[in-house]
Amino acid sequence: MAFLDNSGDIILDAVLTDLGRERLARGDGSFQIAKFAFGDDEINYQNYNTSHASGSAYYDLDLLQAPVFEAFTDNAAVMNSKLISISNPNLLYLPIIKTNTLDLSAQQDSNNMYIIASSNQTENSTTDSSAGIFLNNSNGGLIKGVSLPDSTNYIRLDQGLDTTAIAPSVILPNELNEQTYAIEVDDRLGFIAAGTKSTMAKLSYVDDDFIATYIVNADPFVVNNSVTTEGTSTQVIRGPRGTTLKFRVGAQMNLQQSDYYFDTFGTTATINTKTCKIIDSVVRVSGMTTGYSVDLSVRFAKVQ
Amino acid sequence: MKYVIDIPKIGSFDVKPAEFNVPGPSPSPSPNSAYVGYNFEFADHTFEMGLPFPIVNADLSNLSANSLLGDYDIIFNDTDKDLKYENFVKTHYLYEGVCAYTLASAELNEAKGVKNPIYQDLIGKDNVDNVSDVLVNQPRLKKYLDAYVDNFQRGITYHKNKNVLIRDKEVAVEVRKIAPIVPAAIRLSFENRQEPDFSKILKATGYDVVLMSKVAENFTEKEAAQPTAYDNDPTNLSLTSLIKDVVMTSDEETIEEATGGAASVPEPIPVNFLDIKSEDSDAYDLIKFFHNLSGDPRDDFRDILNKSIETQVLVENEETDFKIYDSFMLKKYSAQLCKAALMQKATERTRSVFDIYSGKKCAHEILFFRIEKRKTGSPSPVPLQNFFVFNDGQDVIDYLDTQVEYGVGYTYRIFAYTLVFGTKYQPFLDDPDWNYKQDKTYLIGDEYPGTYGINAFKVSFLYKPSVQLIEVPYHTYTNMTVLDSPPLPPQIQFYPYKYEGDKIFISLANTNGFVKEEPILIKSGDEERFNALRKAQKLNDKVIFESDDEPHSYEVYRTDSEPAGYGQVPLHTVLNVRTEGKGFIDHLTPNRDYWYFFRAVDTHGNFSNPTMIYKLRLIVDGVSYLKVSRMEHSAVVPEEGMKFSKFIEIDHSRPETALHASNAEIYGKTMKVRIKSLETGKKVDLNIDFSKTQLTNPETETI
Repeated sequence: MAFLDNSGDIILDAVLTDLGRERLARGDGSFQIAKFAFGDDEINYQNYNTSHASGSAYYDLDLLQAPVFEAFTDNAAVMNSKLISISNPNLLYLPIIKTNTLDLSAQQDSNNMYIIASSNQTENSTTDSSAGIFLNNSNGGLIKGVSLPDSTNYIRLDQGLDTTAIAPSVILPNELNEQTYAIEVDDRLGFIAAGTKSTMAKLSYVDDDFIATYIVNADPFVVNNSVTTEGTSTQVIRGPRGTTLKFRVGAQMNLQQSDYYFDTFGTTATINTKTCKIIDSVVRVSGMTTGYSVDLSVRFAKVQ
Repeated sequence: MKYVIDIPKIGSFDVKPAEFNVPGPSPSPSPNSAYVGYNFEFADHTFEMGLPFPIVNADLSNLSANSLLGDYDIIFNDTDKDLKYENFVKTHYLYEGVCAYTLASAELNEAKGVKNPIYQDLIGKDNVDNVSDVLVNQPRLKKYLDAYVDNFQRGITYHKNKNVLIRDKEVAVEVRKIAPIVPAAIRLSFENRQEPDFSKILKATGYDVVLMSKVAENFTEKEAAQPTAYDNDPTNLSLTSLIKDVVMTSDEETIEEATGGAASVPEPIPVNFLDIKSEDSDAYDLIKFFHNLSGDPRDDFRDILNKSIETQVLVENEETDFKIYDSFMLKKYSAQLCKAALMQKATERTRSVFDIYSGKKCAHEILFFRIEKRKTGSPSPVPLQNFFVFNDGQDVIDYLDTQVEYGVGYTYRIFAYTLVFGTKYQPFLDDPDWNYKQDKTYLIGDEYPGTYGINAFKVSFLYKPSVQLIEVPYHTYTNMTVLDSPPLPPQIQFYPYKYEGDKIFISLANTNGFVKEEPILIKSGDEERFNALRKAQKLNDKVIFESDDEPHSYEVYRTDSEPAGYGQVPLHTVLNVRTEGKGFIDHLTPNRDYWYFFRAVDTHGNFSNPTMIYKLRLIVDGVSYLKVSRMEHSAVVPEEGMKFSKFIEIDHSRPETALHASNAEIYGKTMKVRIKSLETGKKVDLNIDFSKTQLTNPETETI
């Protein structure tokens, strides 16, 4: 649903999402609007210009003149930034979820992506040690998506108040502390495993767009960030810290044993001097408490 | 409403002389009167006083313009996330700390340039000048809270707030500024429309503080049980128990006029006569008090004023107001001034005996109020605290008690210390000893035949003023309890695990907002809890639920058999938010129906209304998925519809009922009547058979 302000008449443009259409089509009464949410995906609050030459009345001009999205039907694309309600009206900062690439095991590659090795050969785990993309000293962002060994690279996200105004020793209020995350990934390409253990996340459901949703809420996926010191070299959240999410993306069997998806969706690229078939995709991580979400770019790679 | 405080009079004069008798010691014979006691002294202090209605019960639209109101507010500023303040006050005597009035008094002095070292560390402006610094480095409210608690603790060293004297109405204004930032408080307010008169003189001379201090002495722990007798210590304002009977009655005419009848008089203030035991009221002879203070120069008045008592005296400006007492003579002059003023007013206002028997009531003036604070149900005879509020001309006495413990009930009784200009009198002519004024001579009897009939006698009265300070029960606040608002029910999301058919993930999220609605009772004890909340929120039926803090835990109720309502769903588990987060994995049997509902519980144990009852089935057929629906439980009784027969009647048309109707064609046939609902489109067909029976006239034997 989208709200279009045409300076006078109010127009509400409402379309059903795929899931809504599916339920409506059932005709069994399961299509019930039980709750609703608001979002402001189209607004970039950094455009609030407090130094506008025409004065304070124009500070929010760019915000107000931003075009409004029309209604989307894809539930995976709409409402990325939902409005939330917080009981404490005195908050000055809201928590965010941020990728932590300072952790040496959680780095990204030079394109700020995570490379998912999608075959044994690509992982360099065969007898031919030079066949894969892994090198001895430059493996940043490379994740072994087939064997998923306990000790390897992973994706790490930290959550908390990213500000220097409040010391990290201050405890993050409970209502801002994410304990449960939803991880969405294309179910045809990947699945979710824990960051440092070969524990598989439990698949919750797969929607009509093949987007699989995993709900994770405890160790080994989610742990409290107990580091309360300032200025450390491994922390990206500068203020009060909440939880840390560590996970890996594994390559689905389809990718490991067939090139069909690579040929259909993907292209080729060179990774660590190896020519690979690749598929670029997105993994979305959402906090269940605050609704904050982060999109991560992942590249499924298979050495040719 | 009014009080009649009735000190026994001489009894009924409307009797025959032979039956005339008065209580007391045996009278000596009198040459002038064989029937009237000799040297008997009687007193009358009957007066009427308006009392406040409890505003919760009062129908404001029906109250007259002269009605007084008593109101209250329960204040709970939910800033104490870590329960720092609440845990502190639990372990300390409440009165051993800094109360709001101490802070306010310090604020007043601060404004006048009198630096108060204690206040400098309190929540004064100095601490919040750098607003950005406060906001950034430490939340403002937390800073206030810390300052309050720290100084509350430090106050133990400096203050004893068991008896607090509040002299100036300006202090109350300052206290209102403090109210928004204290963690918990109870605000009492009650109206008083009496203009100060003698109390102005009291305040000007500084004897307002002295008088309240002397009364307060009776409520210190060591003296409360056995007050010293007045006669043994002329400087002691002890209880003299002049009041033998206190009767509270209603101004029936006023009430009927105001409310339209006794039936609508609000409870619990009684309408009819209510006896209050004599020990509930005490009296102090004020003329004697000031006489003793001013009459004998050998008295050491410094002992009076400098006597160490556990009383925190709050004055407008200690440095100036109390300098007057540094002068011994000025103290005496002040006391003489009070006595003289009191005598002058008494002379103007004292009723004659004729006035008394004509029904005229005493003039009176409220000098100050005592707010007695007790823990509800406490067996201790000694009040927890007493607050003395001087009648400084304020229409509404606004008292903020910040020394309250969360969840503990307090009962406050307000007493009005009332200056009553009564009359003492003697039914005798010839006594020259007391400076009585002579009243008229009366003829009293059932008949007056001739000059002095056989059934009549004459009696004269001597009378003089009797100025008493009487403690009058004024208003009561019962079981005031500081309680937090309960939270709102959580928002629920169920997630299946696609390839695991025996478990689901349940995610709970806070609901933010504010709603006033009827509470839904689940367990035993719920009703008592909501009743207490209603009182704290001043509501009669609904309760305010609001998301003022983070839920501490969630109650999960579950059953696998269809319930008839909430009460049939047992508690499944309790999810502690701090240790377990806001989601959990629940195990269940696949392909089976379950019914769930949830409640949020906040830090203080207040629980929300339940969510709807979810009917949930985890369907496992290769993969697992959930079917969730809302249960329409039978707790909601459907409204019984009206019967359609009430609205329809089907009868013959008139021609069909005519005798020997030739065109009667309906008989023996079945007619169809179709009723169609315009709303739903449903149709009902009625098949009607018409028949007729012919009766034979028994006389003519014809049809």
